[in-house]
Amino acid sequence: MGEIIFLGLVVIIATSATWVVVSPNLVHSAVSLLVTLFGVAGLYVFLYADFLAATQVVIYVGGILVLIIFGVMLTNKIDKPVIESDSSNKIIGALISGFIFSILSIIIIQTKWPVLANNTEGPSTVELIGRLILGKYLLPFELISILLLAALIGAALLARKKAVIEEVLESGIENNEEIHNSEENDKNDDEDSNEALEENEDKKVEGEDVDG
Amino acid sequence: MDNLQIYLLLSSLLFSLGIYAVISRQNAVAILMGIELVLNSANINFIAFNRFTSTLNHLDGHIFAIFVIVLAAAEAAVALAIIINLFKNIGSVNVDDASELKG
Amino acid sequence: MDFNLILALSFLFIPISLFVYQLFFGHLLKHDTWYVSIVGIGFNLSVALTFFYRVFFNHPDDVFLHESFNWLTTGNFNLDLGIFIDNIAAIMLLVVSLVSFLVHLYSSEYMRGDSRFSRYYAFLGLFTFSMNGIVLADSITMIYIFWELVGLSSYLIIGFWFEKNSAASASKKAFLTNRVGDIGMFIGIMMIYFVGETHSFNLADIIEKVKTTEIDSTYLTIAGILIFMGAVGKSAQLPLHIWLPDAMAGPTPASAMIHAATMVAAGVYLTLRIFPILTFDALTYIAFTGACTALFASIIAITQNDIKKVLAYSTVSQLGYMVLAVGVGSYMAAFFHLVTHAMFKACLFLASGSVIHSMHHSLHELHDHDTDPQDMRNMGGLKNKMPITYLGMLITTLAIAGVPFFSGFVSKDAILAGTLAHYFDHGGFTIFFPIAGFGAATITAFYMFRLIFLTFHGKPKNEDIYKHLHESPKVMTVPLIVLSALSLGLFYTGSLNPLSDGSHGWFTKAVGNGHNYVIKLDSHHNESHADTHDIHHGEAHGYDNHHTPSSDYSFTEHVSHAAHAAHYTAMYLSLTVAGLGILLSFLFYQVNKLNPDSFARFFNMFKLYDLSKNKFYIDEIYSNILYKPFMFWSSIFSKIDWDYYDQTFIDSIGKITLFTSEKSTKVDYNWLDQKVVDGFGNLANYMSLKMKKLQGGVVQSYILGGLVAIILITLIVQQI
Repeated sequence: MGEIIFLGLVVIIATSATWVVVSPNLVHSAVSLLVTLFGVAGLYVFLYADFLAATQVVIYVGGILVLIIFGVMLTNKIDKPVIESDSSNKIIGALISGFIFSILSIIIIQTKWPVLANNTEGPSTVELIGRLILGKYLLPFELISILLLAALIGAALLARKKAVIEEVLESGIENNEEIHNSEENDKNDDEDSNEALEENEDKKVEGEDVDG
Repeated sequence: MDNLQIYLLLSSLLFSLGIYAVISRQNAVAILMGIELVLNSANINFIAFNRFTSTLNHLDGHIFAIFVIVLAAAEAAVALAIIINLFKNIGSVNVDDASELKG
Repeated sequence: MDFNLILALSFLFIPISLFVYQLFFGHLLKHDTWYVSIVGIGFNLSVALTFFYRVFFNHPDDVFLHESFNWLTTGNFNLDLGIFIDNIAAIMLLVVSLVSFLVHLYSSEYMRGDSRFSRYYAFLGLFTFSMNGIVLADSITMIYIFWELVGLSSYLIIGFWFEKNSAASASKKAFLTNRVGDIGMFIGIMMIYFVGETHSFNLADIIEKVKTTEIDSTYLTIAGILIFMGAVGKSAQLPLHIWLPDAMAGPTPASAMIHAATMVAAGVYLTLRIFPILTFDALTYIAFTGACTALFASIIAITQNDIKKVLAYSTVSQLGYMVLAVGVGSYMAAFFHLVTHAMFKACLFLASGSVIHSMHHSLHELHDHDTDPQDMRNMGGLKNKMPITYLGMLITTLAIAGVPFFSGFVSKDAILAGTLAHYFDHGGFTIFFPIAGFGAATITAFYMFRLIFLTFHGKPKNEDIYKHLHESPKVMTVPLIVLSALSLGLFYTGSLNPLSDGSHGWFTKAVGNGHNYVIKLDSHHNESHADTHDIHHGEAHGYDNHHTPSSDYSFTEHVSHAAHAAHYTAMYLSLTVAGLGILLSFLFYQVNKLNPDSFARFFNMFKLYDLSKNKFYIDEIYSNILYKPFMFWSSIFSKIDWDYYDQTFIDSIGKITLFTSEKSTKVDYNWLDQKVVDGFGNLANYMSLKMKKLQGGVVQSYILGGLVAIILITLIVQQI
């Protein structure tokens, strides 16, 4: 029984992972990624990593994947389906990834892994993990929290709307239509309306609305 | 039926698929997804090795995997911030369009 | 410094400084510049007179002055220059200075108005300097140096009116013919220098050398003949006489000085100076040359119509006489004739110059520029219009024809006596010498009187010209008077006997008989003439004789004695032949009893008239044998050198160089520059264009590249 589930999980993971990378539709790949992550969480359970499975679901699926979907939504025109054009690198990519996979598989199959004979299930790993985090791996833990802080601040800084002065300067210096377009898009996105091209500078100078 | 090798094979499959996505997908978000796949395959490796080659009193693999997940989260956040900015600047997230550094 | 030396050096320095002055500053005084020259030459003349004064008291072997200094030394080779004055040199100095002075005087009027008047006087000064140098020289190289200078002066004077083609080519001819003779002279000089133990160019040393050491007689003969070649060239003897008639293109007073009196006499003077070293064979050769020349030139002179050409050929003939005299050993006779000839020939030339000058003025007044003023056929009856000229010319013509009372008779008689004596001694083929001598005397008399009759007697051929003739100014006639006075025999013989042979005069005493250290008489001569010597001793009186009939009885003494013995025979013969010549001329031209044209046609049956008129075609023969082949070969060589060597060979080297340089330019530019050097640049450009594509700006491709690299490394490492 368990093996059937295991095999089923493997198949699910493989197919959904494949669909992630092959699907032309971006939303499809995001959803496939969701399925893959869930599958991996199931796999963790088989590997007696209960805490990690839970962590995987909560953080990966619930946080990262949501973020990714946000990204998908934010960076595409919503009135069109998100179809991307063919990439020229597909063949080479396939070749290379196939090559890597084959090499790795050869290595994996041919190596005599020092597998311990009897590894039965043990108690829940949560307590042990807790002890390790605040014991042996305290320093990495602290460091990683600082890293998270830095990532947080950085991401927030990167993604904020620019200040008015900065925008005036930028639009004054560059005559890039794309910039105009992008600013238009920004405005469109923000105000949710279609407006004709007009002097952005005036608007900007006069205008005000600061979208946080 | 579950031995180490099947897990490793699976993780290497995920890894190569992830590499494929990085190389050949044109959308920046799709590339990000590929990177997530790669990180996941690494995680599977860690846990699998922990399960099969060390006793359950030593959960170093798990710790590592936790850290990897945290890093993945941080990196996804920053990456998406960058992608948003890219979208603001050039109007699309197609990496082929982001070629201002073209020689 | 010895005062004498300074005086002697003035003979050299005054004329050369006159030359320099006239050349650079002569134009300042215009016509009066001749006063400067005449003062200088006049000073020379007075010094010459003071030297001459002492001749009367000196023995022939006494030397007034002998100074020399070392000019250059290289290793064993020494060259000394110096002054040597003995009796002969003193007399020559006087002759040269006197003739030069008179010519300077004469030319002031003759050359009046010429655009290059001062240059003429400069050349006269240069000539006087060179001639004095020859006379004063004490070594044979110094003679050679001044020899060349005299040749140069003659070139400059003959070519004085160089606008005329005839003058320009005549001057070249004179100089080149002279040079041909000088080749032989130079070789002869070197032969004399190197023979024997001591090596010296000094005349006294050479004579000493020959006197004391035994030298191979063939060697000496050749050396002597070679040095004589110089005299052949300078004194216009037979093979090289061609320049003298052409040289008449120069101004007449200069012709008088150079070609009558002095320069041409330099050859004879040289022969006299080397007389001591001439062997008997050399002397025979010299005598032959002289005899042939004398006869030959006189034949040509019969048919000439130009007054100056007649005088030129007569000069050649008289020079032949002098050379003949040297050849038969009559040293004194040769020099005597040289002096007398200088006087009367100069006068003849100056007189003819006076005639030509007058004719020229007359033609000028008639505006006639075509008639030749020198052609005797345009003259006639001039004696009424130009009496002084006529008188001067008549006196000197009598002298040259050998009429008694005149100097020419005495000197020519001495020569003829010498030739007869020579024949009596040696017999055989030497009969030619007296025949030539007497024959030439006849012919000389004939053509000289022909000149007188055609020019001065008879009716004028052209009345218009005759009307405008007039006597020349005093400046031109005074020299004539002086010279004709000096042509009277009185001056030389010291006795009023017109038929004397001058053997007791101051001249004979001063000059002596010369010495010859080479020819040794055999005992036969010694004895037989020892007797006549004694007999003669009884007849002759006052003869300054301090030799005894012993082994030091020399050749020259023998010759002089023999000549003295033959004196009367010669005299009668020469009177006969001279009279015959004058008579014939009288018949032909004065009274026209015999028609010259019919005689000319008669002689022309043997082609003789044509031969004579055309100078025996010598010039044409030289042209065909020498000049034309030479020019032919010269043009061939020039063609080879210019057309083939220069144009083709050398130019082709240039062309090859140009061609290679062009090709190399092309290779360098098109290949090296454009393709290779630029190619590197182009290659870099191309590579960069291609490489540029690697940087797509798309980050994905970079990742791709990195992965590919990892795979490759893996593969490679795995292989290893």
